[in-house]
Amino acid sequence: MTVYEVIYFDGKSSQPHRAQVSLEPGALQITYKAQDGTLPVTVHWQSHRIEKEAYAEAGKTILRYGNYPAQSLEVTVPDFLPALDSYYAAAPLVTQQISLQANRGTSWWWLIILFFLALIPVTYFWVLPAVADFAARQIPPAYEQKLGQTLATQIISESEDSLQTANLRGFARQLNLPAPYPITFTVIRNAEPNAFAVPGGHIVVHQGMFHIIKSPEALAALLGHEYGHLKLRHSLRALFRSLSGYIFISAIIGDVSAITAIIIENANALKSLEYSRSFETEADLLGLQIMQQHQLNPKGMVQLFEQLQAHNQGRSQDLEFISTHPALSSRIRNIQKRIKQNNAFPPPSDSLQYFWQQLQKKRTSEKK
Amino acid sequence: MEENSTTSHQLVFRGKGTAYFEIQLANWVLTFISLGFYYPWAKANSLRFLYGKTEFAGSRFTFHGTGKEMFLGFIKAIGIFILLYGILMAGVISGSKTGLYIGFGIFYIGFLALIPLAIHGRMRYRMSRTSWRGIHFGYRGELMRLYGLFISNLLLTIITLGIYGSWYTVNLRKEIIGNIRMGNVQFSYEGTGTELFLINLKGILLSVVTLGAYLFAYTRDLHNFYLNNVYLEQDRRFARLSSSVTGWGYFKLIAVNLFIVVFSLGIAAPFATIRTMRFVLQNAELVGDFDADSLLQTEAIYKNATYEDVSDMLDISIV
Repeated sequence: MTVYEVIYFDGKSSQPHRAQVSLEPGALQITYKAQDGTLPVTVHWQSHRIEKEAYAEAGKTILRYGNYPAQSLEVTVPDFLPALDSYYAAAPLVTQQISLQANRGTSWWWLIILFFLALIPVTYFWVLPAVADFAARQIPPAYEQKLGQTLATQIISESEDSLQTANLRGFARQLNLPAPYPITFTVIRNAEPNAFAVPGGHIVVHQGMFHIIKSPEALAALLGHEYGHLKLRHSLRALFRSLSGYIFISAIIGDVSAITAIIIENANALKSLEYSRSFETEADLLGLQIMQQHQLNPKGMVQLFEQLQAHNQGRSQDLEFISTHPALSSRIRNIQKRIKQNNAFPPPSDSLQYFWQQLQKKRTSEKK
Repeated sequence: MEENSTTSHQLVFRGKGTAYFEIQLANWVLTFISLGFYYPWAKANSLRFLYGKTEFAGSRFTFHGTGKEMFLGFIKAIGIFILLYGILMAGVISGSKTGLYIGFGIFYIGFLALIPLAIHGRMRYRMSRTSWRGIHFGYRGELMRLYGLFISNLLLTIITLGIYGSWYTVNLRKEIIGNIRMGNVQFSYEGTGTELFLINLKGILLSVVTLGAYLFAYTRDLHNFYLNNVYLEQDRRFARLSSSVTGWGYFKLIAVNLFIVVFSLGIAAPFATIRTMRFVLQNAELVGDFDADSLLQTEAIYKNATYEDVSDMLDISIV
């Protein structure tokens, strides 16, 4: 019977005791002197309740035993652990280790990890947006409308041009845009050429936009595009996507320092640009569909973008990579690809032309 | 030996970056597969390693907490945060100004009210589940006292436009550290608000003048102020922590860590953690009259981990 010299802590004080350990059937036997000159004390540890410290240094074994407060012992004899393991193979020790070191030499572990590391970007770029879109679709339109109402009252704070609003509404009515809730068109007094859609059914066009739009087809293209954002619920989907992206990354990285938080935030922002680019393209396509339904020349959309491009020139660089809106030229290319060549289009309907002229009249009177 | 009983007990960190990296890698994968629910177990693995590799007077610390214990706390923490965000969202959606104000009010007050609770809960749990040579730590603070301190000092800080902040920090440290026990050893914090105020004043002024270069020295001063004022009392004999980090050391730590983390896109963060642990612990020792062999077990068991994860989510780091 081999006896090992160990250091034993009784769980009552921090006093290290030199003890002798021997392996007995079913239990470890520990003998030590509580104080010099007293009789030796013997304790038994049932083998299956012994817990092994997972992260001890090589050659050192630390064992713990019992509930609160635990006793423990430290052994620096290298062949103690193999002897212990083989002796109590039937009732092995408990360990909390999850380190891969325990599985060293088994390369399949690494394969699994590589697989999951590869799965992380796949999930982030493809699975997550799909899940977010699905979740966004579960939100009833009525709820979205309510949410949008609050937003709209804040956004549409600038003064409304009521006459142009009436004309624009007349024009839009001719386009017959179906939606689960009524869509409100508004023209506001703002010289900056811009238009946007607020979730819940608000499409807002700046007065300045009418300086840029030169034809009823271009206006229809603009409204069709904004309607696309509403119909495809882009705001809600963008919100869900960016939220899920953020939660996903922080869940994966866990509690890393602030540096990573900054990286995450930027990475996520970059990706949401990518999102809005794909959303813009989606909205363009829906706008085109609307135009085709009304037999409007889809070149109107090309014109619209060309006018916007002309306006942007001399103001800021049209950088595709970091801009929220995909570069207009790439959008133009994208649309032209889809336009059937040399199709003859009838002129816009009389009603569309009527409201278009009304809108134009107001604009020219403004100029004077 | 008897006339000069001053001893020095070294703190040593023996963790290796590669070992910790493997643990964290496994943690990430499992957290990912489980859609985040592995988090408490991942945390237990990580803490068990970090504590187990920290050596004081030749013996390791042990973290006894388990993922199972912390999982319950994790679920409760998620519940609390969903509730708070739900109230905020409801306020926003209600559309009315009053609804919005009430939503925001409850949200922020709720957050503030959680902080002392999170500190208290985490200290009780962490301390009770940490041991050294089988002797468990303990936290004996009273929640109501902490609340009183937190609220009164917060108000004073607001009234004095932040100047009282230094005293606030010190008072909080005194309360928290003063309630730590390591068996029959009692901790205390002896720094003063005035000292901290002067450190802050000097640090901010010189950092501005030197265009930020002094920040490392400022961080060193804060670090040493926080550690060097921690005292341990054992049967009327006293010892204190002594930290000797330098500004240059801090500079190297931060610069290299930043490099490691940024260029690995965060993947190598475990190496940065190990470097930080080593930096802090290797530069610290316990000096004075301390008998490592005569600690007695005194603290009762406490396994409630409810606020362990609340404090994670609030991003509170203690000591």
